[in-house]
Amino acid sequence: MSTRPPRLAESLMRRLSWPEDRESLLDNLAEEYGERAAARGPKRAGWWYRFQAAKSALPLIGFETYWRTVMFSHYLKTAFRHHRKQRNYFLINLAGLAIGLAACLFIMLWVQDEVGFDACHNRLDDIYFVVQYRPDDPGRTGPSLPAPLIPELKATRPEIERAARYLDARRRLFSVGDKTAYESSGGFADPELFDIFSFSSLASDPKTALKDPNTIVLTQSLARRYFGAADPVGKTVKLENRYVFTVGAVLEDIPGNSTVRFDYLLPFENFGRFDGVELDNWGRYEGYLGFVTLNRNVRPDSFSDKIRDELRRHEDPAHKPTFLKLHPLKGIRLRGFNHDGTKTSVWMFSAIAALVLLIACINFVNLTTAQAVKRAAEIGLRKVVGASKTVIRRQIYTELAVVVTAAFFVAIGLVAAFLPKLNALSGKTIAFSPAGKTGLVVIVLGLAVFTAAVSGLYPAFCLSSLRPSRAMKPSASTGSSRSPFRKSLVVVQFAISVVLIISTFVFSLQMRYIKRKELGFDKAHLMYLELSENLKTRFDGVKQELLRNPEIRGVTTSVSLPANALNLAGGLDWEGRPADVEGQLNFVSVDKDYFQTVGIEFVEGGTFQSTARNQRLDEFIVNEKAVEAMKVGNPMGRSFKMWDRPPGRVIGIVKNVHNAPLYQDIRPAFYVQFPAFYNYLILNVKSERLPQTIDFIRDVYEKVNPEYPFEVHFLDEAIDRYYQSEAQRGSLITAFTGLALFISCLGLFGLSLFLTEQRTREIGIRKTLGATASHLVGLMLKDFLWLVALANLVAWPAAYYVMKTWLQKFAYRISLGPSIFLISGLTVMAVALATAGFRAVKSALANPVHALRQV
Amino acid sequence: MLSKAEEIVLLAIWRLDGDAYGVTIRRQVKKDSGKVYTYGTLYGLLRQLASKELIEKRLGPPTPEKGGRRKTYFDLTRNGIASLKEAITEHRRVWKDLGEWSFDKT
Repeated sequence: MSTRPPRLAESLMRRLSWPEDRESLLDNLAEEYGERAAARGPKRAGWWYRFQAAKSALPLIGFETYWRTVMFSHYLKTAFRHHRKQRNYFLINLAGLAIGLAACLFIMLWVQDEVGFDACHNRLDDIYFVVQYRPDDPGRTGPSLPAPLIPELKATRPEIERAARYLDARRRLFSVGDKTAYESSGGFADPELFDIFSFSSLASDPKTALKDPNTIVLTQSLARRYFGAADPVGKTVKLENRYVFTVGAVLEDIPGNSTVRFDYLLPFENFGRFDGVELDNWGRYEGYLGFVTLNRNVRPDSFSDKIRDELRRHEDPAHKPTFLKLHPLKGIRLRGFNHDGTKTSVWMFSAIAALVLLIACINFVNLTTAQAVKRAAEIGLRKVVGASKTVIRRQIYTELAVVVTAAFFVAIGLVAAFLPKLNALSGKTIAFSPAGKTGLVVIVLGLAVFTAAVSGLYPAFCLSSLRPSRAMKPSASTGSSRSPFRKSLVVVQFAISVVLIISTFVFSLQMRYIKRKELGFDKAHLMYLELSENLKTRFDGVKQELLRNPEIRGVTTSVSLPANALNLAGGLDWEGRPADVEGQLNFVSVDKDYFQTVGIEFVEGGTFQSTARNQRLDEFIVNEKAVEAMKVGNPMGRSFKMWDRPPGRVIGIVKNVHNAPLYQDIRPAFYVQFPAFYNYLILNVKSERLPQTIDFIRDVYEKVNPEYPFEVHFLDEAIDRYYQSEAQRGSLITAFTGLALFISCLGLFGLSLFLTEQRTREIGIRKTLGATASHLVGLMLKDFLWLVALANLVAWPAAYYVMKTWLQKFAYRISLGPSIFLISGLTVMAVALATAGFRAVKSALANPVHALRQV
Repeated sequence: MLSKAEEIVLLAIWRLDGDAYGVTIRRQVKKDSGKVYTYGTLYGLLRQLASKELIEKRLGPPTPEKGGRRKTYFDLTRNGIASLKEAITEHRRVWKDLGEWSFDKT
């Protein structure tokens, strides 16, 4: 036997043969192989061996599967019998697991949506943003570029294959025939956008369409809204009541998880036309997105180095230098330009999904092992008649598989049923059909199998290693209430619930804090309208008209809303500016009644003296933060210069108000009268007789502006929108916390059901001997009380850490006092006691005769 | 009731009289019936017979060419012999009065 049989064939035989016959089978094969090798050479013997192996495979598998099937159908039968007998536990397990899986599935859909952002674009890996950055301020990387930059790069750099600009078009008045409404989701874009991104067209070529500046591209749903079933191509659309566009192409709706997302698209030139921007001005930075793809063989980082100084050439050398680089589109949703993406939320929700599933698993383990006592006799008997550990394990796994399979289908049904609700809660547009998301369904199936495998592990091993001699004795107490393992699982379960509840609690407190926080101005009484061209030109008349109503305390106009007045302006200078202080502050354009109307108090000086509409920019008012930032002591009366205008003076200092969402600190800002930049009409209105006042405003508005629909907004609603994504996340977390607690309680309920069942006789005897019902309930709840108390102690530090981290996001935040922890802890304890107590009270009140007569 | 294949294997083991292990059984089956079983089929049958307790395993003496490992031999049990007897009786009874010539008449 100098030669060895072919390895692959040998290992195949080894794999397929039954363990007890393996050696013998292989020996025999080897023996005959040896003989053949000696007689006819190793090569032919090798082929003989391979054929043997191949032909043997089928019968070996066949016999094996036959016996497996026989046993499996037996397991299945006992599993059904078992579950039918223990219907309560089966339902508890099923409900817990199904809800857990459904929660998991939904979170996975959500995560998939986030992680798969932009995956709908075929060239995702090749698309880059052109962004500016400052070496000294890495947090400021972002898309703020002069409008001519992208065309110039495209023209001068052969490395660029395609380039396009894209800018969100804000809310615009949209009209087709007599249908008129505001559309808030549109964009300005260059035609090559269609070469870079994969938007599929339904009618005619969008790229050629966008080349004509008077053409508009619509998405299908927008087209339906205005044109119904008719073919929109060639028809006209009017924007802002002035600009007429011909519909050039219709696109399929853009998926919800695309960074570039719009309902209609206009050629980029129109951005200049609409907003009065000169598109060849290198001195003005716009917040548009510049996309490029590079030719093959061009490395993005080396290209970044090449365009690095492009901006410097066009920039005022007195400014701090800004540079250019490429930033990949891939991952922008998760990481953002400055690590400000949704990555944290994705992790957080994944963690929550895992925790919810863990809680469901724990239920499973607890209930299954707890029932071990009841089943001890059955398993003992099985062992006596010859079942091996493996057989018992397989039996238990089959029982679990039945539950898990049922739970899997229920979970799919739950997700399908509740998806619209959850979409509304999370602000997403996820569609789910099990057929359409095979990958995900497979994952969830895998998850279900994993759940079964993990949660079956302990029960299977614990039950299969019962010793028959002990198991058959009636006093056998394996897996009794004294099991430390099961107790620690309950502790883990409730600790998770407590953490989640504390998080929810802190979350809602913080949101409430934000909502109620005094921002320094009269936010409760402020309303605003958007200024149309008509209103802008006739503003003074409208203002006079409005002020005639005594319910209206004040009318003013501004470039931005008081709570989000951020608009950083560079190129400023003031008397005595130290060389190391950059000439930039936030710029707010307002009229002279702004401070009185909005309710901002003066510290020094007063409001603008001139009613000038001549854009002289000679009177400036600064806030206290700006006084600090200017570093010139008291700036009152000092000269202040904006851009290339002749210098003016600082004529007032106002108190700080929250001019930024509360994630950020108050920003240094200056106020100036600059009518070109008025966007909003802001009113301060008394809260009594509000409906009549609004009607009055409508009348005035419609007299001046009949063709625009009247829409008036409350400022506090606008403020709420700044925190919308946070609030959505909050409501999702609340929902999942509720689920987690519910599943935990289901488990606890099952456990208490089991424990009181176990102690029925003990309770009967105690009662006959004179124990009161309350005493008995106390006796039964004592255990649970300790567990939940312990869970709290474990959960508090964890929750403290997590919430402390989350709160860092806000510059203004609540403090984490002990009361939050105590209240959450007590809530969980109360819920747990109520759950467990329900059974306890029932059995404590039962007639002891029944209890004792049992068995 | 034995299946045909089981019958052939049992008979081969009986004929080998104590020298029955994989290689020899396979050879014997081929000699007796002309059928060539793969080892997979053979071991499946052996396993089936063993589970019906018609044959039993026996470990032979250590063999030097296998590194001192023992061969697994198969012997008929008493049940095995009985079932062979039963098979032959039944065979005779079923085929009583018949020969190949019986099927020649159309």
